[in-house]
Amino acid sequence: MRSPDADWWDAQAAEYVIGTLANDERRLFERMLLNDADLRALVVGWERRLQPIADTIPLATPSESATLRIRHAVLDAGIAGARASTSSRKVAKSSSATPTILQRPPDRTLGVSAEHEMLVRLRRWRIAFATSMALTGAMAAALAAVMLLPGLTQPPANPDATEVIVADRPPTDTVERVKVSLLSDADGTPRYLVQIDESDGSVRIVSLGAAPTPEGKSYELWVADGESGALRSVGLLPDEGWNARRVEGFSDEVRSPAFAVSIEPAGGSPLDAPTGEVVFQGSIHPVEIEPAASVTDDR
Amino acid sequence: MSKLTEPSASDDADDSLVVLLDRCAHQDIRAFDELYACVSSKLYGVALRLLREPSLAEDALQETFIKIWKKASGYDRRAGAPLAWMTSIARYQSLDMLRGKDRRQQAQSRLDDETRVMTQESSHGLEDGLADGELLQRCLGELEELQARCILLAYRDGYSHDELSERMNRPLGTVKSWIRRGLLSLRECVDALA
Repeated sequence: MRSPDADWWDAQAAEYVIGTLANDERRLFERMLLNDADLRALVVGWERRLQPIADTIPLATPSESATLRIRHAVLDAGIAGARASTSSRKVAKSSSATPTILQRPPDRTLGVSAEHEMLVRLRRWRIAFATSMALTGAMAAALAAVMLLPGLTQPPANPDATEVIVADRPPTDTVERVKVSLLSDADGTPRYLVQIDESDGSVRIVSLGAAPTPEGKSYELWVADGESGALRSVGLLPDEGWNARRVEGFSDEVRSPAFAVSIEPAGGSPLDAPTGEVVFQGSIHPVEIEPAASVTDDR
Repeated sequence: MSKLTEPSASDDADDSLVVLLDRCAHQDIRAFDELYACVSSKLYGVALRLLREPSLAEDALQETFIKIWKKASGYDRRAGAPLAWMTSIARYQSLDMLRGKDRRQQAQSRLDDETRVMTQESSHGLEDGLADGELLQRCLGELEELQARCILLAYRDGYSHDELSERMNRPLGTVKSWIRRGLLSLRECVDALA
């Protein structure tokens, strides 16, 4: 005979499976599941009993773009968590002093244009990082590896861009040194990816699906000048899509530890300093990218 | 990539999925492609039923496959049959997203859809032609009709207690105890006959 307690927990497990636990109850139950094998067994029992209901739900085909996007997301989840690649190079955790050495990712064309590939990746990043926990330097470095896919050229037309640079980046045989920063909001949700290529002073800014810029306002990106310490504007952030912006005078002397984004009137701050509050920020990580030893799709 | 073929519940199909999951655990992207081709239509169907909007359901599907990919190395039979394991991931992901939306809004859209759902249900709420799960169908049939309907609407369509209370036009406490009692009766019946 089952005890009332046992029945209660079994009913909790059942309601968890069918989805009727209240939000806070459900979250608490999920945390308990992590540590309680008996509770997990109860849940599995209910999943098994009720699975035939799922079998009555009509099948449905996801769209082609969703399928592509999902495959990319999974591939990139594999990059972030993968073991060392076929070469002898290993990914090291980055710190503000030590660059991270990465393998250039293989060219994974799927028969679609590089631009389309980048666009489907944007949506993927928004979702993947909305659920990520603390971001390590290694993760930021992995993002940089993805950003440097060869062949990326002109971004889609962005009417809000004050300056759009065509940055044609053929694959090189040399080590590339870049700096990356993931700008997150106060909740820790990533909003933008910024990549600085100090060899040519170019800065790439990619929106990770942030909420639209408030009406009549702009987001402006700032970095501390390496010599004077004064905040210097990098430019306005795009609402969506991406652009590549060249910033004059961006050089190895930049020792700013972080980017910051402030909310400004439309068109940006009328001064040489922020006038609005800081809404996003992110530390800057140096990264070195080495040429790939081989270009294959097998991992 | 995905085909509208019903994934079989046979042992052979199960074993194939287990092998694919093991290969995914070793970062085999071709195994992922095969897995996706096999189960995506089922998982997407489940997500779409719960979330109703294709773009949301696709988001849920993406999160589901990322989780499957990442958790593949930790999968073993104690977590259940592979398809049930993956279906559960899809359902919980979809439920998380569903509960995050404006509840008043979703309750209204459910009431608007009431006619469509009811005309698709038999008296105890299961569609005709249930191939597998005759056992479950029989046990659901032994419950009171409204108990069975609540369980189905919750599991399949993501109804919350509040929404069920509104739809059934019964007090919240009544609906909660229906579900609890109904689930425990279901367990007794299914486990006795299995």
